[in-house]
Amino acid sequence: MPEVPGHAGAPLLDAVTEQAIDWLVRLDSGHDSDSDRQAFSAWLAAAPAHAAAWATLQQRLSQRIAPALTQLQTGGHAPTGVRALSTPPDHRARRRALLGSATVALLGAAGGGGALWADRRAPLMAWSADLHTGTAERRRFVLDDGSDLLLNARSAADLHFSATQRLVQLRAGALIVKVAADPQRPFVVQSAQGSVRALGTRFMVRQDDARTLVTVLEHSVRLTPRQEEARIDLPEGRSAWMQADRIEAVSAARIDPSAWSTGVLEVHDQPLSEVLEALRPYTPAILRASPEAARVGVYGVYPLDRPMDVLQALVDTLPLRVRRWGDWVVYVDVRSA
Amino acid sequence: MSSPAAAAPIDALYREHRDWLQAWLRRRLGDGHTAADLTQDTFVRVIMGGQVQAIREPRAYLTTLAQRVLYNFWRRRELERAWLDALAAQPEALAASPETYALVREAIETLDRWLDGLQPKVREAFLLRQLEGLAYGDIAARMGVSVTSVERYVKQAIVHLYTCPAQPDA
Repeated sequence: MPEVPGHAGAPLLDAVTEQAIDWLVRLDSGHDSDSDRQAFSAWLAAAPAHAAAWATLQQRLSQRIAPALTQLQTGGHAPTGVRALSTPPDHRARRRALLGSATVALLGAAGGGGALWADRRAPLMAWSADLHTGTAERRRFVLDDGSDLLLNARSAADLHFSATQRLVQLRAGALIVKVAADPQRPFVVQSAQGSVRALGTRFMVRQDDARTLVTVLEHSVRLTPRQEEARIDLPEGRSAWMQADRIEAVSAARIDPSAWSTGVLEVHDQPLSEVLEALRPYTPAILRASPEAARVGVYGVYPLDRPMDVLQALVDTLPLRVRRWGDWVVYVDVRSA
Repeated sequence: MSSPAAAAPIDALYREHRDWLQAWLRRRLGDGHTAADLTQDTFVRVIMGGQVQAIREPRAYLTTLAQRVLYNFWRRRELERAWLDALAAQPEALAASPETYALVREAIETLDRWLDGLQPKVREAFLLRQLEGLAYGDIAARMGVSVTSVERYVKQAIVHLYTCPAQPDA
């Protein structure tokens, strides 16, 4: 008969799997160092069994919980999810099931206060991503073919290079790639909504919620939405939104979508909401604006790496005020005269 | 799933014991509609178990399964309540559509099943890392424990996730 699950004592792990788990715990700490990563690479390369155990671990964890984690994160339900799931269980639920009771009185078990919602990207996605960055971290990667890839903060991408293709799968955030010429192997960046094939050399791809922004910095690219046969070539200097079934041109952008590559945000009469959008990957805090504040036009040149200074500068020069809840929530509102 | 030969015993089990089981559940729930739903859920488990012919004590068997169904029912209500409380404590309510609400609830229940059996602090440390992206140091500060403890909790959660059976009990 079906097992009524209690849980069996922890089954034995083989030594290599346990080592892989120890590496995961160490590397996914949020404090991992270059020396950790180097030591890990050495471990991974030391025996085929190491790489196999690592792959199995990643795969199993992703299969089991990544979709649920992503579901909670994308809607901003991470903090409430954490709270609900780490509330101590009401043991009476189990007792009641076992012993029986005529009444069902549920207690609100969660304490109040301090819950936040976050738009952070999934660390779990980063576990298995080939390239990834954390909050406020931009990184440059030189790929095997000599292409130069710059990953924005809080971004992740996978590499699938073979004899016939160079495929980069952008899983979160944004990247700018300067493609090395190789007529035998097309260079393609794939997002959730479609693919961007390099016809020239330098372009940016950004994965937003439910759409992808593409900006061509040099030459041109070919866009292919996932559910469309139609392809569109996008010329230098232009940007477009790609959705799964269509492409929309972006009319002459006043804000350079690839400005993050230099760590500087230059804006000319942009709504505050867009400035906050650019700052988000650079701070663990949750940035929100009231609808009025979101529309306020902003000018200036701001350092992306110091988002709180940017907010202070905005408050100093515009009719805005900033309210904070701890270090976690920053709310921008208009200042009433 | 059941073979044709197994269909008859299930059919007999259902006809003979359904009313009894529903009454048993109603006494525990105080609610006839829910009792009817959970009776169906219990029989679905019987079918999925696929071992009807081996059952010697049908009512003992049914109540064992029904207890698990009941527990899950209460656990889901409890999770939902804890989640709604957390939602209400936010400075600004999230505007969630009914579809989103259902998806979030399902995701929370899925994680709850995979993490079943782990202590709340183990779950909390793991989820603060995985869902909120906090570094171990921040998790330690938030929970008032040492970083070493956070590491131990996270490892415990990963070992559990890695080793638990493929399909957590729904």
